[in-house]
Amino acid sequence: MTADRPPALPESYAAIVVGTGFASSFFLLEYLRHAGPRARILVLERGGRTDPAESLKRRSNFDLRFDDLIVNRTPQKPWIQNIAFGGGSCWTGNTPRMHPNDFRTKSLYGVGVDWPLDYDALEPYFLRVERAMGIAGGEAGPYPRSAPYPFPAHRLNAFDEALARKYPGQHIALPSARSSSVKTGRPVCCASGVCSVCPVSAKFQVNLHMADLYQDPRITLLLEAEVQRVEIEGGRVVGVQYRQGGQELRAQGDLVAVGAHAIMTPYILLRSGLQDRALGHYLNEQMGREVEIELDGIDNYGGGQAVTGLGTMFVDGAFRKDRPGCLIESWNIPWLRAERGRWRQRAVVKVVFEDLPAFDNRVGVAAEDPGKPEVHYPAISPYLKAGYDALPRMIEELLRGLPVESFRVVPREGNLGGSAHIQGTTRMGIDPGDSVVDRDLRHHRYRNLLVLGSGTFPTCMAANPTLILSALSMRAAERLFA
Amino acid sequence: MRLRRRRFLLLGAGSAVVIATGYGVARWYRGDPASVILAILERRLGYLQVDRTSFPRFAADYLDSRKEYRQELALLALFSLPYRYVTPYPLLKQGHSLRRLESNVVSRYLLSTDFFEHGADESRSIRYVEFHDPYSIACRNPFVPRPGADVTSQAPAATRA
Repeated sequence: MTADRPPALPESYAAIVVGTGFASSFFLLEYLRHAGPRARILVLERGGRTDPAESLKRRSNFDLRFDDLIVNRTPQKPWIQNIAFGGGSCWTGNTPRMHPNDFRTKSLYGVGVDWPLDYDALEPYFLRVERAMGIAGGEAGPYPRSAPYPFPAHRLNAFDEALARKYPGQHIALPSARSSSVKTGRPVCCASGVCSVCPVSAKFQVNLHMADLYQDPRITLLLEAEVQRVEIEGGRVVGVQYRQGGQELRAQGDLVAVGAHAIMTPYILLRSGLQDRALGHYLNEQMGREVEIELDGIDNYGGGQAVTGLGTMFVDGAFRKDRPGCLIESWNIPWLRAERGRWRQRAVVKVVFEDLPAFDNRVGVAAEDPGKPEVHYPAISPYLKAGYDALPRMIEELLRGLPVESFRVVPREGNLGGSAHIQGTTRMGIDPGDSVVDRDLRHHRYRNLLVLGSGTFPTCMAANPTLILSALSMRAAERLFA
Repeated sequence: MRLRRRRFLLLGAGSAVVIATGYGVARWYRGDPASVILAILERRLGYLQVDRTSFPRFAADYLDSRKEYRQELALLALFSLPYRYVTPYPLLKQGHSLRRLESNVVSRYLLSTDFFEHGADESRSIRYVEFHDPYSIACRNPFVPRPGADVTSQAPAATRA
């Protein structure tokens, strides 16, 4: 041990996993299936445990304010991320898959890049994650399935039903991790509409429903342990340095998997001296716009979960060469009208756009405070702007022929908004000159370094990331033993 | 003579403006934001068999949940009396802040009662249950299927968080 290195833990681990969110947890779930009984795995999580009752009282799942942990060079673009055991569980539980064409937008439409794997390679892992989470879903829509969803779809609301009649096979029940059956082992969702702190634990959460994973005797879990950097010697990763309880410490391991989310992960790797051209760059997330619709004669809000319908009619097509595809989320949280007898004649949809990641949107190490990442996101892309410009026409088309009185695209005022789906900063690819990891999430150069999570997505498709990053993690863990 | 009369009239008009402005500012400063909420409830829901003693309680809870709008509502309180009888709602575009205010108040109030649990029956007496706050009391969405309707889709009964 050199004098300027922190002391190492006495054990050397088969694997060190950074983070306990979905990416790390599903990696561990699969890793433990293959690892021998004597394998030792160290898991380091920066956050602490949150108490569900306290979270509900506070209306948030975290103790650490994310804004305090970063230097945001472009404050007009906010970033939402929770730091806590289990990943903070800020997600609402939506689990659509990627469209098959999302994997090859460059080949098909000349935009973005092609993924180094395709839908068929990931489909078995989508199924496994959906089973593990107890996903409620019905029709497949444009997302081919080799098996049905494990649990029945939630009831659509009346507006969804009208859209489903107009767009058969394209407007479907939103697949979600909000329980539709007591057979999931969780209560059934009651559409309270406060999904980030689900008051009845109907939503699948790592800290509640994968907590047993971390009881495996092969795992040593350290909370409030902030990984500072990965240690590299002789062309290999040999461990990590981390801070806990005011002490600087080290841990040695044969494999390191970093799943600390798409802002902290590249930051850790940059501090470790990695110099991949794409590392930290291509920061992105989907952007959403809300549309408020006043209905004429349809009493709405009878659906079985907070977000009931998924409109896929605009997710793919030749237009993607010019403007982004999008999903239409139909929200089912009651917001009534004031007029007598027309209280329920309202609908709200959220249009979730894909985007083209830009190299200059990036994460770095803050020069004035190297203990924090700095984040740059100066403006939305012209591609996304084209989507915004086309939105009113698209909504007119969506609603044509339906009993609608009026609609309003809610203007974006003030900041650029976001969707809490931070992505792209450790992208996967074939070319090490423009990517950080390969299709198995292994670093191109340091082959015993894995990078987990939505930072590995090379594109910003219109799909919530959690199902996809979990499937990628499971696949990556399985591939280690192939 | 003419000049003195003109000066007197100008002085009188100026005083009236000052007094009216002062009155308005004083009303705003001391304006009761709850009066606007009460006016909206009376106008929008006055035809229902509703317990009006619940209105002030609801108004207090509503204002507590919307502290950031207190100033605007205090200003609007200047018009709370006419608001009981007429509002610009039908003339305003969808999304206008005054339309949203009426929608928000009516929505929150009705969801705080058992109105929809009994099929929105206007002839029935409506019971005020509790200020609708899904963070405080879960599973109060009246439009979700209730237990017993389908064994595989049993939503839990309302529970206090």
